[in-house]
Amino acid sequence: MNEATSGTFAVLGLYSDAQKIVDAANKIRPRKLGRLEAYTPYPVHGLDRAIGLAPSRLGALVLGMGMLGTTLALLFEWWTSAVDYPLVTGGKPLFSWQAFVPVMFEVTVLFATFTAGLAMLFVFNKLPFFGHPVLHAKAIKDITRDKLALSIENAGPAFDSEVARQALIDNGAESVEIVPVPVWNPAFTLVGLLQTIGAIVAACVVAGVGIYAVQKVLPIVPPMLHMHNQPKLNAFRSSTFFPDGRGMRPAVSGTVARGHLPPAFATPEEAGDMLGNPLPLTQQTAERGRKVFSDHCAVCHGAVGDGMALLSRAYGAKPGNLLSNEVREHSDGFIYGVIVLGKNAMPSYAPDLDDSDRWAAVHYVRVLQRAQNAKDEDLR
Amino acid sequence: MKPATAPLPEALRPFELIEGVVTPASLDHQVLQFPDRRPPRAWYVALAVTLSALAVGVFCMGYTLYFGIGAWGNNRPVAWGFGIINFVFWVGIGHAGTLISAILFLFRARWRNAIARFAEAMTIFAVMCAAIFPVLHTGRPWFGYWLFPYPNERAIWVNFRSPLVWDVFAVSTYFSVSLVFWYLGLVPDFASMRDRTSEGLRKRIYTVLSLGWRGATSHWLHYDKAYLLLAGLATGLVISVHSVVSFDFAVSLVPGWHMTIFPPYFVAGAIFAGFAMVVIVLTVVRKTMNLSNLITDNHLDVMNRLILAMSCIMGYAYFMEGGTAWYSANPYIQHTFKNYVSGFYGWAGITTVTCNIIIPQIFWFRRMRRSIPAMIFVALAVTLGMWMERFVIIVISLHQDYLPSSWHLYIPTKIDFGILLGSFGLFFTLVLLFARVMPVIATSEMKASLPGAQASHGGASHE
Amino acid sequence: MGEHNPPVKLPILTSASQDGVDGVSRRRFLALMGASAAVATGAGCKPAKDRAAVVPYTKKQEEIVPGIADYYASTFQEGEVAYSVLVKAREGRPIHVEGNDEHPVYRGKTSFHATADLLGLYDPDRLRGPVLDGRLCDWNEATDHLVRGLKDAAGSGRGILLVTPAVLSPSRKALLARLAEALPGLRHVQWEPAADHSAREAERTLFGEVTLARYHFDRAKVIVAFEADFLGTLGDTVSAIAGFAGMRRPDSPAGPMNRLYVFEGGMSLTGTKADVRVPIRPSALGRIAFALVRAVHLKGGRALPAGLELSALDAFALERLPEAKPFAAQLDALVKDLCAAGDKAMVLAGPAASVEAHVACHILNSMLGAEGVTVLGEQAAPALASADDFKKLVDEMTAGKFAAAIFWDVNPAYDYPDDGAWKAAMEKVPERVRIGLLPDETAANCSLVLPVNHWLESWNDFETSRDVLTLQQPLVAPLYQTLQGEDILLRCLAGLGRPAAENYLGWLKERWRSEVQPKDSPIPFARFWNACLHDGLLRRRPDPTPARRLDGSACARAAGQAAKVAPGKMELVLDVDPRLYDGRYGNNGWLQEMPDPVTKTSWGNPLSMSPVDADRLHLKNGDMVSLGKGSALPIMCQRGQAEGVLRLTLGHGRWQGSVASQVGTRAWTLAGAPARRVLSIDGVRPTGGRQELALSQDHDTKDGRDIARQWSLAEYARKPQHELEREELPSLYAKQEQKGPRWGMAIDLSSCVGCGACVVACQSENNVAVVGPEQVRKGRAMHWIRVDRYYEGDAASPSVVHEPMLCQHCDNAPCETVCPVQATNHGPDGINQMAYNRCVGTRYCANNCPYKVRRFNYLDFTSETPESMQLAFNPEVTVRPRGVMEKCTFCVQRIRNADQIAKREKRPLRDTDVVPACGSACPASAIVFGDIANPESGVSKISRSNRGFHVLEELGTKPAITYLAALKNPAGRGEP
Repeated sequence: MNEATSGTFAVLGLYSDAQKIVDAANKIRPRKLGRLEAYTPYPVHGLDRAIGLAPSRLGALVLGMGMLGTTLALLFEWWTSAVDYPLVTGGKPLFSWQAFVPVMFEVTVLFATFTAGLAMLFVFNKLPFFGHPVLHAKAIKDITRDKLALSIENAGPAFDSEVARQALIDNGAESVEIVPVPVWNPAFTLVGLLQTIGAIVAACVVAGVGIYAVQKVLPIVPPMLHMHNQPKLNAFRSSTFFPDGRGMRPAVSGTVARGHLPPAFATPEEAGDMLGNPLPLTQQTAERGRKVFSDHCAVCHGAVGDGMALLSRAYGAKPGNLLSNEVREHSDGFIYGVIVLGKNAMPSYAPDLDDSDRWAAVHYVRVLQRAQNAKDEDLR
Repeated sequence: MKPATAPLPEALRPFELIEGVVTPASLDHQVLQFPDRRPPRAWYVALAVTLSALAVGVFCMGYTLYFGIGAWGNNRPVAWGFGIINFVFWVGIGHAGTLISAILFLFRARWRNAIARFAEAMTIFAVMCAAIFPVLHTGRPWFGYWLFPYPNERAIWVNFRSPLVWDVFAVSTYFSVSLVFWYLGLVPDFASMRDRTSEGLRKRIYTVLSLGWRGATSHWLHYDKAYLLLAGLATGLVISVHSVVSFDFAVSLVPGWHMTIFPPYFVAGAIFAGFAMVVIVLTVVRKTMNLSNLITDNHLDVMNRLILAMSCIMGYAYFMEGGTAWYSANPYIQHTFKNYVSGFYGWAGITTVTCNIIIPQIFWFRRMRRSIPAMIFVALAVTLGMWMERFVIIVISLHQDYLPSSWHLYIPTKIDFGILLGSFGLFFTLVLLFARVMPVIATSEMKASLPGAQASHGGASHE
Repeated sequence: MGEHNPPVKLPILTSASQDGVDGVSRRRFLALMGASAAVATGAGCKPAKDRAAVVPYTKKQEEIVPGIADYYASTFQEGEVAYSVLVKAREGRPIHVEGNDEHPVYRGKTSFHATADLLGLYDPDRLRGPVLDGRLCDWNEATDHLVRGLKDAAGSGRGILLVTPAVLSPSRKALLARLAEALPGLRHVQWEPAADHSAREAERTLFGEVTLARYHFDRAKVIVAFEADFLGTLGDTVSAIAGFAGMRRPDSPAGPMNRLYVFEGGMSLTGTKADVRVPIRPSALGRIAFALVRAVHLKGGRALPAGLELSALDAFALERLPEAKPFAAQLDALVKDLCAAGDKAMVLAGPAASVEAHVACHILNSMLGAEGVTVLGEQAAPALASADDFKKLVDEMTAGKFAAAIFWDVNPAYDYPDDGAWKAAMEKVPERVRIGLLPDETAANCSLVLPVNHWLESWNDFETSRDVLTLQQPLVAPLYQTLQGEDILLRCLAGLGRPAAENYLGWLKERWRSEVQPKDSPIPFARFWNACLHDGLLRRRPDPTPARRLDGSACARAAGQAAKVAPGKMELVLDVDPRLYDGRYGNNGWLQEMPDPVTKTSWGNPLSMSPVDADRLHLKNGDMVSLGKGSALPIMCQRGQAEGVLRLTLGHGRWQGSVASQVGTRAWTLAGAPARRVLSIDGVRPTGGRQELALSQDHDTKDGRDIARQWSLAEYARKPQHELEREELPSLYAKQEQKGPRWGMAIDLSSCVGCGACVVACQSENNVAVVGPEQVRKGRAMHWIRVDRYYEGDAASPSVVHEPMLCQHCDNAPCETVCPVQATNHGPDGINQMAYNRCVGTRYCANNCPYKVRRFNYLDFTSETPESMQLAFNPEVTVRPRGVMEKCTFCVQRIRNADQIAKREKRPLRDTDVVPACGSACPASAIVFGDIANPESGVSKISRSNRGFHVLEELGTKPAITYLAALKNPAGRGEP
């Protein structure tokens, strides 16, 4: 008879009257025939106590989660508005908590409700569960329609299906069904595995294609205008409007822009007659001159101005020797003129050097010349 | 001999919730049968109508997306037009459902059981309709997701001081909570559907949807608790949602918007409009799906009483607004209120008051509360009136605000109307589908409240 | 009008879309069906790839640093005025035009036409090359053809006609003289349809010579204007506004402040600023003016000019003049003021006033001693053809007197009133040559069309006053296959065997070397020339000229005439359009969309009509009427317009040009005779049709709201102190502390004349989109700054206040709080910032802005901009696409730029370093910008004025802009 009962999951007794099943439960419970449970189409008040269930502790959990929601919301709002992205809007303080209340409330409710609903189903009731024996009982049709079932369930060796059946009949069950433990089919069949893997792969492909489309296609569909493509013409941009494709146009020759008066002299000689060095020869001007010289001049004229630079050696060019007597006799204005106008192979350096740079360079050339032919008093 | 205790006045007597004999079995048979049967021709006709309306709407939305909000009538100063009007309107419609399923549940108004399921469904659908608009009305809808505070590579966040962000949270919370609430109620009914349908695809679907619910008392224990908690939370939520929606206006400084009365006034208005919609749908449903014995004249009667009550609250709110305008001695607000009933858009304000305040007053008469044509007429009037109310608040307030130099009229375009039509199309399409494939009445709740369903003693009892 | 002259499409002239600015949106909307399909199928998706590569200079430019703007002085000519301008260029492309700060008169201010004509340079309609008989050809062929034509014409013994606008350039004049030598048969005619021909006629009769009158408004204490819109359309408006506004902002109720009397039929911009405005029919002006002469003589004891006897004025006793009756009080006050003001008075008349009125004005000025003080006529005016001359000329053309005709930068086919006559005349001229910028109406029936350089591509010099000579230099090499007009003439000379110079620049420099540079100057010419180019002008110290003497007998004759003038049934005043001038800017989207300063209509010119007449005919704004001839046109009820007077602006109703065509009504045809400005009309007949006006302001009054204050000097003086001093409103929040400058603005409504120069300058500086008439009607114009215009008082003679309205950059900005994505927020320097790229477009900020200064891109207004127009965009400012909110930024790009410079110069940023576009453009200097956190800054000082107020202060938005109440100086306070 044990082997008879070992395969039994529970014995169901079906009732139509709520009062009867509650009484039955109250009678059977003390006899400890097995675990008592009832299956009803709707909640029958009092039945829970009759089969000896303690009240639900869902409330406490919901309260806790709700509070958590409140706190998180406040922290988040404070951190984003006052710490991570502090922008003044409407002259309000960064942490204007009054304005944060509505969101705090909503988040609280969100946390609480999801806890209540989902925790109830998935945690407390351990659903979804499609394999429960009762779901496979004949009586389930009636149970979810109009019958109330009291069930004595196999809770160890003490259980005896025959006794349970008798107990239920004695307590006015209209009919009794013995629910066997269903035969489980193995969880991992090859087909099952393949199906699962296939499903996962398919999901990945779909997601991947979707994301790609969103990333690549969506932003360029006509209505979705974005600002990175500006119809205006920024510096260095090409333009198909001009035949040469250049957005940047040269200045019209002969025009004079504000603050860019062209040099008044046509030749270095004129410059020599016209101009004197407006900069005083000081430590800084000499320093500045050295920088200008090493940046722009030394590459040809050599670090000391002797015209012996790597470049000139390599290409056999003959840059002027700035230490030569000829150059030493030139006036500052002349050298300035050469810098501005260029000489022989030397191009104009006007675009690269502003006025004071040029004069500073002139100073430095003088310094070099003097350094190369130092007199005794200089050494002292 | 003294006579028996004097009878209660009619209004106080608990009324019959069902007509004729209804057993759990007959209930199941009556309510859960629809998926098994082919729908009548009328249903297909109705679906065709709603779908074509939806099609028009989709076309107009596409047009708007392609050309921009310029396709609408919006301009300066009326930067918000139909888009926000429809949004507020639909969110409002939703509120009736939550009110019925949550607040009336807390009040133990047993008559709610019969209509709760449908009302909840309508909540979900209404919020879906509403959710279209906030995104669609933005200038660059493809950046709508920027309104959510999601971590991003630019490390920038939303502005939690903006009522629109509150809206985002309120509406999305509202939607998800309503969904959970609705689904929770459906689970036992899905179980019944599962067990009454023979093998096949539909059975599989219902099996999955029911999560293998088996009605164990240990489950009902937590289920009841959860349902109670959800009802409580949803109650707070439903009140907060439309308050937050009203903040969009109340927090701004537009004359006619900047009002402290807006939150309660909006909530009342929402419930008002929602009930009207529920009445419209239920009267049709109970007739076509012959559920008149479950959704009785008594149900409609009490619904209409609520509509009447809400109408009076609205009347008070309108009066209050006017009073505020007058008492504040603020020339700008006073000007706006003159515009509500006079000026170019005066007809809108007058329609609003007529439809929302005057017409519902016929519900003082019992005969009217119980006559189907009357209640449909009132319900339609209220729906129109509540839409107009949002038009009044948004368009009239905006079109003449502070600097007269900027005053300008707002003329909606065909596209505006097309989208409005489309939203109705969507709503009723969903309603029609719902009516065919899901339990339209919360059977487990009904069963629990049928006579003799509960033990009379031994063990705690609610009633 | 269109129906008479259907648009003649010249082949291969332009690649631009023919339906123009509004066409963009129109096309898009007509594409509805296709579009929906596109939406459904996703068809027509084109990848938005970045089309630009990086292209540096191959030869480094000395003056150009990529990304840094350069400024060039140049000159812009309009009619008989030459404005000295400073052009901002980026990478060798002009992007913005402002006034030349070196110029002694304009001091950095200029006409907004100059600013707007930047679009003229980049106009996609521009001719791309010479067109011979409708086909594109190269220059050699074109010039050969031209020379051959000229030779044949010379040989034929018939004349050669050359029509040009007023020639203000001595060098061009010399060149034309040279041409005349080479071509004996040449007849050169200078034609300015928009010039004040009656003024010229008056001067000719009085002084025997015509001068470019210069008015010293800065010296005038009493100004009397007879139909003279010197603030809007009459000649050199810039110096007029500057001088006038300078006398309108007393720092105390005690003044000094001028007083403006305006006698006019319609409501002109000048009328809106009048202290005493007399709405009166133009036909009466002559009598009124002579009545004033008589009264000033009798009451003020001022001697009449020799030759004018008192008896000649008997007809003009004020008390007996019927049209003077209603305004007796004002006229008495005026006479008192005039006598009191003496040489500080100024009397002037406009083109719509009769010649006699002008004569009377000269008499008054000389009687009062104002001649030579407030009114100067020293510089001889170019010899323009008078209206009659031009009519005769057309008759001669019809008579076949000319074998060839060259129309250089003039458009008589459009502005000649009689289309039939003009067509006939043209048919009789075998060789018709057009030298011009655009394929306009005249080009449409010329066999040879020669494209010229825009003024921003040209060299020239201008002489409009004896003490300043201004220079014009090109900002960019010609964009298309074009030549400067003078260069074409030089080629002709070469072709005729009389080579003068290889190009006009050479000619110009040669002239300056030989004639302009002082003989005794020690500096080499190159330096002299470059210095002049650098400043854009050469200042000279001329020897004083003797005062002009009036011809007394001419005065008497004029008096006789004035007595005879009979009033018409209804009188139609035709005035130059303040935006389109004589129509030459018809193709300029900025100017077309700019609202008329008075009527606030953009895109068109309604017929303005007094409310009384409109009521009599049961007409509202936009109702169509017919004036007998010409086509029907919409009307506009204009407050302050004299009963029985109609007003219409010229310059609209072109039928060539993608933007210009079919906009508004062509008023020239109504005139009957060329350049006639006032005519008698039998009446208007409603046609029953309607045409919505593109109004930028629908509501005209303040509805009693205290948003734009205007006081009379007396009220101002009476104001109790507590009303004048302002205290901070309490706030819930602690004030955000301010580091560095807090940018702010002060706008003086008293100096602001409402001309709208700020609107155009802002549009050019900030890439503000043009939306077209349809969108303006819908209320979607994009201007960042607008000028609100409010009427007060009765509709017959309202007082007007103009209020420039732009983003107030509030400390507690309502727009910022409500933006869900913080796209608009507060900068550390107090600027209400707008991050376009973060904007989602909820438009909540626009709702919550009480000033309604936020602009939303309801449609895609920019991405279809023609490529040439894209060059006009300011590279420093983002071009906003569809769906984005935008608004005034206080020209933040200029602030940041100044910040950079200050950093480079290692000094703190001074608030004087920054001037926003509107401020630098305002000819009245009514807009002052600066740091309001620093109590010593100019803007703070002005803001502390007793007249200061914030708009809608009670809302607690704490605006950064302080307005100063407008002041009026009505008569009856004795000595002004």
